[in-house]
Amino acid sequence: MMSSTRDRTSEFFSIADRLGGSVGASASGGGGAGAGSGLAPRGLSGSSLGSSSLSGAALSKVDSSLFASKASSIGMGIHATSTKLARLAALAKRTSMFDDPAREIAELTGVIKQDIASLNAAISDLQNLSRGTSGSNKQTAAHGTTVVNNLKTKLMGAMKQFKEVLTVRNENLKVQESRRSRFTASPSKLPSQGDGGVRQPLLGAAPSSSPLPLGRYAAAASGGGDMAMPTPSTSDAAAAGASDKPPVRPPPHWATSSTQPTSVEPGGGHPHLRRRQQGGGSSVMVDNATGPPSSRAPTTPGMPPPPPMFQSQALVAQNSSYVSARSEAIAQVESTITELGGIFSQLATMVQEQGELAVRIDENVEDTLSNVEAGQGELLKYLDRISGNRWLILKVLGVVLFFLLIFVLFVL
Amino acid sequence: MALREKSGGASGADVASLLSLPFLSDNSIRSRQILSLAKLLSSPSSGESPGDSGEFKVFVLDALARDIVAPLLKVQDLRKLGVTLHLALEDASRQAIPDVPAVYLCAPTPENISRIVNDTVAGMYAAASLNFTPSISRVSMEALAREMINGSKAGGGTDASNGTASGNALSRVRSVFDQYMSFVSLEPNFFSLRIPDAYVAFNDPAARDVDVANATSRVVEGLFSALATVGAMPWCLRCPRGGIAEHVAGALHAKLKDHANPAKSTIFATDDAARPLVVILDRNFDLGTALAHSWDYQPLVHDVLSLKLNRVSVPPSSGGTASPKAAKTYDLDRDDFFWSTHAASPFPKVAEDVDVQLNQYKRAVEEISKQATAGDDPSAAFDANRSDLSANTKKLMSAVNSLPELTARKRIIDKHTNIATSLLGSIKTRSLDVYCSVEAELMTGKGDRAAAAQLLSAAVGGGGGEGSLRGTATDHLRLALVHLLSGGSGAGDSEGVESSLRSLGCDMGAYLYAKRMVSLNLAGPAPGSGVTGASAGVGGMTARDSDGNLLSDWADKAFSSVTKGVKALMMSERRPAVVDACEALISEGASSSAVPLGTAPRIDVSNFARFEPRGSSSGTAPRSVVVFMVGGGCYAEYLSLNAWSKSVGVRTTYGCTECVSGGELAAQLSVLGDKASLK
Repeated sequence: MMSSTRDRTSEFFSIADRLGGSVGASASGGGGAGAGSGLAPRGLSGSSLGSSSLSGAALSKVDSSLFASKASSIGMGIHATSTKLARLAALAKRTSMFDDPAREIAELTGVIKQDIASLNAAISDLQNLSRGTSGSNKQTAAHGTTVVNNLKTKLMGAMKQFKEVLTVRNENLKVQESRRSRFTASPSKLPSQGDGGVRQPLLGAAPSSSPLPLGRYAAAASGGGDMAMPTPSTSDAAAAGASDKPPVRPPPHWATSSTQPTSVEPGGGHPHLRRRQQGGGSSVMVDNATGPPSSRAPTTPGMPPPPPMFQSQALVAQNSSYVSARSEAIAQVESTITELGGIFSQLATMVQEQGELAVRIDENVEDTLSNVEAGQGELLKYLDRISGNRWLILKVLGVVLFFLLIFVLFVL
Repeated sequence: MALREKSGGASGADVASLLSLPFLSDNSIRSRQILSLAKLLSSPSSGESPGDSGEFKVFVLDALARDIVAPLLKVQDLRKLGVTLHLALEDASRQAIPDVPAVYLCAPTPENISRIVNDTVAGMYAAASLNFTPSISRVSMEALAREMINGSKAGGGTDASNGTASGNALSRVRSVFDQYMSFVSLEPNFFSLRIPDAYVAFNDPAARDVDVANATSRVVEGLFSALATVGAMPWCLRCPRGGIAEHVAGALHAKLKDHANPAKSTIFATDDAARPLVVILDRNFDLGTALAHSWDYQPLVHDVLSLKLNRVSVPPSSGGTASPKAAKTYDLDRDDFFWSTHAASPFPKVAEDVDVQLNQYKRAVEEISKQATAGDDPSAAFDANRSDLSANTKKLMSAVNSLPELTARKRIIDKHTNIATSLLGSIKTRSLDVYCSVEAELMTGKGDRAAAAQLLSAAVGGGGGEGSLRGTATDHLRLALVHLLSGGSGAGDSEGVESSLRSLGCDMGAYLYAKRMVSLNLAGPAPGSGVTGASAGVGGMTARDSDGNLLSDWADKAFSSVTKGVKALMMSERRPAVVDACEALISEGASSSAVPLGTAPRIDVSNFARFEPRGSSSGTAPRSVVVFMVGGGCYAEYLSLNAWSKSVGVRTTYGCTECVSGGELAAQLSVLGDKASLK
């Protein structure tokens, strides 16, 4: 398929070498250099840059080479960003509830956000540069504008993609929330006992991004704390969730002292949540006092599941930390989206409407042709008018001459 | 080979996704040319994949290259390939852009070469990749190198400060490539060499040998390019004996033989299965088809609105708004879903479908507006909880997203409405329907020859009365020519037609020239005289009956004035001789009955010369056919070949020196008549 071309570069340079050898040594040297640089275009542009800086007079050339290098570095930057984006997209598409790469996603999002902001700045810089340097040369200016526009469009595309990825991520998080709340909501439908009432108001003040599932979830957790887990499958899932986060696992003293857990759990920065945990811890402790002694036995990995009472205790902390992490992640994603929207609109105002998108390359030619024809027509019309005037002048002149003749004849 | 195919496929997919042209994998000649273009634009930039646009560059083209690129890649596609500017090589006012590499695509003419030399010596661009549409000869290449060296020396001598910049004109040359691209792909399987007035050039009795040789070499260059792009060495060349076609085929054969050895030339694949049968024909083989009026959409647009390089310009409606509107130009190409489905449809079907599409569009718009209003319906908000609301938002979003697509659709529908309206106007004023039906009957050999002659003589009386023939002098002439050509050499009823033509004030050169050709029996098989011609015609008629009904429905509804003509037009299907020739030749190749054939071949294959550039090959039937028409091709032939190839399962590619409409061909005939001083 790709064989329908024939590379004759080497043939050309061998001819040039032969001719150059007979014509002059310097030219053949140029030919040889050409053969070398033909294989390595980057080296070529580098050498041309070097020579122009040597000649010194060509200041504008240095500037425009600066433009080229800047443009290519921006292009590479966009390329790098889009590879990062692809990675982020792969991460965000994961819908699994338990090995959620929240930290990685957050880091990557931050990096990409920074990248985009800096690229944005660099492009507007580039635009200024191209405006400043190409004053007289129209085609250079056109080239510069197109390059800038091209880069902008690319960046726009990357940002659109970024936004889509974030939206997907947000959706996923929300879906996970709702799934969780569905799983754990069933117990909450049962009348909740005393301590549940105490917790509700606290939860009402909890993160505003998704109060409903959170509230329901916490209620469910509290319900679970008081009653045994209703179905084995749910308890299994909860156990699996608990085993994912090692810091929460060693709970024996946890159950006895309510102050400990706050320092252990990873995402427990939220005051409301922390308080809720403490409250939950103390209430459970009361329960524990009346509970069977076996619940205090330390649990080690690989042991048979702990008794329901204790497990639910761990679950409360686990779940709450999870919820807080989640709500934070959602808030973060949402804030990033809005931030992105800002850059987006800024860039959008910068990118002019590229109306030439569906234009064919022979368009201008035809326009020019028709313009030329129209101009010619106008000229012809003008010529007509002028020649008309000329006739008029001749006629007037003739009449004047005629009268002059008569006058002369009569006078004489 | 397998490796090459693979890499080609991969980069094809890359380019296809980059340009968002999903059809690029169809392996047609147009796709292959687009891929070569994309490759030449993305190549030698530091080994990146062709899908990556790589660096920025300017694209410098000569006139032919512009015609090649224009129907294939839009500005937007070029942008995606990293082209920031496209400039005409001939343009003397090009300005230096010193930090950008340039990609040249042009023919290796002396003028172009000196322009390139000037550019490189002056250091207009940072680097130059030279691509030549046909291959550059060794002599031209030497001239190129010598001029560059001399130019550099002269530059260095006169201007010392500039010496470093211009001293290495040669070093700016990054690559030199033969692209084998000197043809224009208009349709997936249709290419044109854009050699104007080729019919005159090849049939001129006063032409010098040099001119004919030049014309032949240009045709051979172009045809060789096309075959190289198809990528397989022809299985064999077939052409009618003793004519222009044989002349061209002989020259092509010689050129192909140079590349026949796969060790020496890598242009052609060695794969036997892909090797096409190349059929080279002369326009004289079947003049009638190219002269006759056609009733299908694409030929009609070509004939009436002079479709050129897939672009048509519709004159403003004469139905007079006060302000004189400029003619509107429309692109009819791959982006146009309507065009791609209806190019081969008869015109009434097109008119009907425009309406259908318009209604569909209206329905879609209503749907969307309904959705949009449902979003803020107060009754829905009553029990709207969160999920419901977000669902509504989603619906609204999708509606908004589908809007651009809808407007694009609307634009296309509007375009075809305009074109169809304009066509209809011409059909009415020129009574093209009458021409179509009469000519179709004449060419299938079942028409009433006297009636056609009468129609012409009635037109003499002045096109006042209803049912009489309107139309331009060219239309009259074309009808008369078809009448003449369908009559065969023995027909003696041409006097009446001739005299009425004279009194209609037509240019008699064309008619007399054709008459002489008929008497010399040069004008190919007269379709009417064929024995089996009529049967195919009848079969086609029954097949098209349903169309006839639709057509009369539509016509009754809207355009009563044309109804009569349209009803008379029973859409008799007739196959151009080209298709018959292909069928006969391919069935001859198939000793085993690989190709299902319905009827006995109507063309005598024994009259065809045979060239085999790579020795004789096995007796398997070729799976692809390249048909080339020397002296001008037409859309009608392309469409019938396409239809035939679909029914048989053989890929056909149709090429011609130039795509001529009936009027243009008639004009070329008149020129010939004048040259032969026939009056």
